[in-house]
Amino acid sequence: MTETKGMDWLAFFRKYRRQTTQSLIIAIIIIPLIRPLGLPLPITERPKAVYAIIETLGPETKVICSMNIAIGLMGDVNPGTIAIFHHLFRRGVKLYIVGFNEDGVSVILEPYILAAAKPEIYGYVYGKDWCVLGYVPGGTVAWSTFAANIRSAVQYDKYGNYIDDLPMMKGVNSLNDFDIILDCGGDHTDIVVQQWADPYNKPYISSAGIGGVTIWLEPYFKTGQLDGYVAGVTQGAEYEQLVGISGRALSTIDGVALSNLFILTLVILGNIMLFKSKVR
Amino acid sequence: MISTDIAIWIGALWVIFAYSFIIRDNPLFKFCEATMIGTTAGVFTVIAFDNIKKLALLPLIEKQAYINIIPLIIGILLLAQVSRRQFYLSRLPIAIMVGGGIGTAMSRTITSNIVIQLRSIMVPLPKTPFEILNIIILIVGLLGTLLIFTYTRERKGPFGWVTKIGEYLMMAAMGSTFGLLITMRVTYVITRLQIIVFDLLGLG
Repeated sequence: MTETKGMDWLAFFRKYRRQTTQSLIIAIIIIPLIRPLGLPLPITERPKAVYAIIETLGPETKVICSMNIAIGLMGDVNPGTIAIFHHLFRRGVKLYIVGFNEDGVSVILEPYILAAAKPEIYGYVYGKDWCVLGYVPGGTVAWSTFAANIRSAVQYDKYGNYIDDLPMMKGVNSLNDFDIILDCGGDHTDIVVQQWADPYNKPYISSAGIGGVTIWLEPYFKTGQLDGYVAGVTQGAEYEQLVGISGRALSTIDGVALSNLFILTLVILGNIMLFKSKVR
Repeated sequence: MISTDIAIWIGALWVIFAYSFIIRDNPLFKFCEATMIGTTAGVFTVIAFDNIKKLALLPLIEKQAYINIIPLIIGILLLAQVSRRQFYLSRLPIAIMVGGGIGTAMSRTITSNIVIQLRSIMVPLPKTPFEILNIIILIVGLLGTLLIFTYTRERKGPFGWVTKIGEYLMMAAMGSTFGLLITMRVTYVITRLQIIVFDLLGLG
């Protein structure tokens, strides 16, 4: 009897189509978007570390932000980045934004990050309190050149202003003139560590995708080369809680939790079925 | 309240077109795919031209930075790739880019990725049983993972055991990365669906 039942299940899983999983995941995601479950969200150590660092910053602090969020990662990285930007604007820091990939400064920054974080509501004035130094192509060499001599890598900002005409650029010549590094994107953690944080001995925080935690973030966090990070939408939601804003991350985590549970169930079922088929 | 913003409608429709692939490949998906590729190519072409303007041409014209003529010429040489006869000219800019990249990266990689990472495992002698266990896992894990890449010795006896542990640890690390990547993709789906649920339909 048990044998027949097991065979039925095996037959069922053999016929199982990936479209079924995909459709079920979409259904599982949509339900908590319409009716949030309000699952508890404990705040973890890494976002707390970022929060504690930013809390120590003040209006005289110069923050260099490398904006390298790839379009494919923006769903995961944007919520945390927006929350961090809110926090930075609240602290009144001077924010210098520069991009080393095509997407970050040119495609993501304005319509997604600045449209949500709104520097103007914090009384920020372009050129005086914040600026966008544009996209610097060239990979590792561009990071290195920018750090050594900003004007050899950038002469005009994103909007075509000569950077020496921006009041906040006076006396800012190299990475030595900044107080802290913020990297948004997380794909270039190794380059930021190698070319900026280690040689210039600057505190370094990151807003990254969850996929990079094991390979990019934790190895550097453990050694102290990275001082804190907000990875993925879950930690983005934690940071939203810390900062006290209601962004999109908080509405996303119920869906993430339920879909993870569903995928985990499928993995366990798949392994049981594999084991059963081997036994047979 | 359903949105009347045309941009949101386009965004939502394209999300639906893209996910219609779940059912099967269809003309709407193909249309969505083609427009995405076309738009991306268009946007990045504009970005590339904007870069040439801001980084090379404007400083050359407005600030008389004549040194910029050299990178401009080197950049133009890259276009020789399209010619079979002049193809060899494109090797110079490629050599400069690859050589510069490797040289810059290598000089820092040893300090940041090897010396400092190795220094982090040279911790003080453990005191509590938990710390001792942690150190044992660290040492066996490190040795095991490194020894996997020894191909000149048969994996037998203690050597085989250590490499087996290294193998499991690597699989655990890769499994964790893969799991996190799945979470990231799910997040991406959620944010796309938020366009339909929140922005278009005004629910939630």
